[in-house]
Amino acid sequence: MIVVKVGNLHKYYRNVHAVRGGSLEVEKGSVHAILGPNGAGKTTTIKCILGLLRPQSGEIQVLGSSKPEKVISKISYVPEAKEFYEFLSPVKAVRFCEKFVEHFDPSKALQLIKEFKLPENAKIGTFSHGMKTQLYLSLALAQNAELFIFDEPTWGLDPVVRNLVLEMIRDLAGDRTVLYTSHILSEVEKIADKVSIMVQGRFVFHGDLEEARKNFKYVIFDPQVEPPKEFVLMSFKRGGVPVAVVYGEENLGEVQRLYPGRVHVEPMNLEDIFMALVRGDVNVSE
Amino acid sequence: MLVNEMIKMRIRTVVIFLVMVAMLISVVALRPFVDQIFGSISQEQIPNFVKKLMGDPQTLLENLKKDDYYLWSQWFGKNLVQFIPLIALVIAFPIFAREIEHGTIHYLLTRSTRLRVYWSKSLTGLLINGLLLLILSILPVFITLALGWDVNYQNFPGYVVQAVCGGSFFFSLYLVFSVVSKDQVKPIVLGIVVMIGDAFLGMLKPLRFLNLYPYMSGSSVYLGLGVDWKYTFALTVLSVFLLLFGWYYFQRSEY
Repeated sequence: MIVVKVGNLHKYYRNVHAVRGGSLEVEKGSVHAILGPNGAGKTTTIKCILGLLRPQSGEIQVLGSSKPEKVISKISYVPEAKEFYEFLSPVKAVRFCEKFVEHFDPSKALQLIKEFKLPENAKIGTFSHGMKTQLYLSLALAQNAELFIFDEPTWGLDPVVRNLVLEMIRDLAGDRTVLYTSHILSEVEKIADKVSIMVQGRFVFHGDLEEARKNFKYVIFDPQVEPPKEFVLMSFKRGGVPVAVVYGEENLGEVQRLYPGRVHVEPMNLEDIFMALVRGDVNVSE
Repeated sequence: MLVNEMIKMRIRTVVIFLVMVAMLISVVALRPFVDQIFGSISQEQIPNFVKKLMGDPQTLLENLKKDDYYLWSQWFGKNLVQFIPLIALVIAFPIFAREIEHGTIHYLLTRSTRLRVYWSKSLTGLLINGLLLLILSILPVFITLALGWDVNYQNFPGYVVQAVCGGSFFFSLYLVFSVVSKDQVKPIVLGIVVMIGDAFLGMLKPLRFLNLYPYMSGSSVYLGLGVDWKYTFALTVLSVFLLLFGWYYFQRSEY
């Protein structure tokens, strides 16, 4: 079942074409990560999904509705800037949310605040960026939502807390769906079932991590061989040796058939794949 | 939602209330000294432009000796009326602009509908603004009764209607400034420009109707002409229009 469906989305900020025909499908119960460099259009896509921004064209379906506002009570969102009311303390923030948010569990929020070791009665205005993030996450995770959307949720957190947050996000999957943006690849590898890579407003890859690792390969050629352009996504030289990135078993088979015994294949991790897609300006999402 | 909005506004509301009560007490406390202040000034000492502005000083002094005139001119006609637009500005300007500037608008709009967010915030502000003006218009009744002043209490409902209606108009206008601004500075600057502009335009004869201060001070009520219902109706319609315009803009805004 598809929980979020985005089709041919276009969003402009005056003359800047921020999202260029992006399409995305998020399956129920999965952790779906959108990866991309700064300015790729990840946050814009998420804001369009939530109805905070209005796209110029394209289709958006969230939890079966084309109007995100109609299902807003089933969504919990953590934005990039985790700003909450600075005059409140965490305990008062929980009371505030209890009155304002549907399906909010105050005891769970308080438990998370304790788990993060946040001072319960200090003003949020005195908190560091990391503490504000932890508080926002406590409030967001205490919502009994069907869809959780996190925009760079671990930015500014120390490694211990970051791992704790990643575990919490991972635990949501199954019953609930998580849509998650990040540019920290190691995090995504830990928790994501599916990955979409966005570059310059376009999705250039969709798929699960295993599929990505299976399909993307480095092919190292003999120094005298020129990589065949029709079968490779990109090529470069590493210490004078030609290296190509190949997508798909079919293309790999063609390369091996053309140069039998003169190539050898190496696996790629997510970071290699990400760098290849970002630097190579290639698109394998079609 | 209404309760949460009230929590956000509580400090501003309490500060405004305390400042205004202090001002009212000072107006009442200065009552015995009016004769001394005005009596010690001779006609020759008063510059001509002041005479033009205040009318005949002797008549003014005679009028000020009456409790009813003193209360109306010094509280409704001078102190409260000057603060009505300022109170509306202090209440209205941060309602949306602060949420937008601080980014907390994202929390609200991803947990509730725009309809609920806009109207609960706007109506809470309108209610607090109206209640403050209602209390500040009625409070002199209790003080003057306690002091045994000779005041025409039948005028008070009229003073309340005109003060609350004028204040609601200013609130609605400033609320629109708050909705359309991405930061808190612009609605404050625009609000101050409106306050000064309103008084300035009112000095020009053809545009005198734009000056809301005589209406908000309840001058027609004091002069025995009753509530200015035409003006009241026009301001109510304009306030409703401004609130609806704010809603229209808010619905279509991107955050």
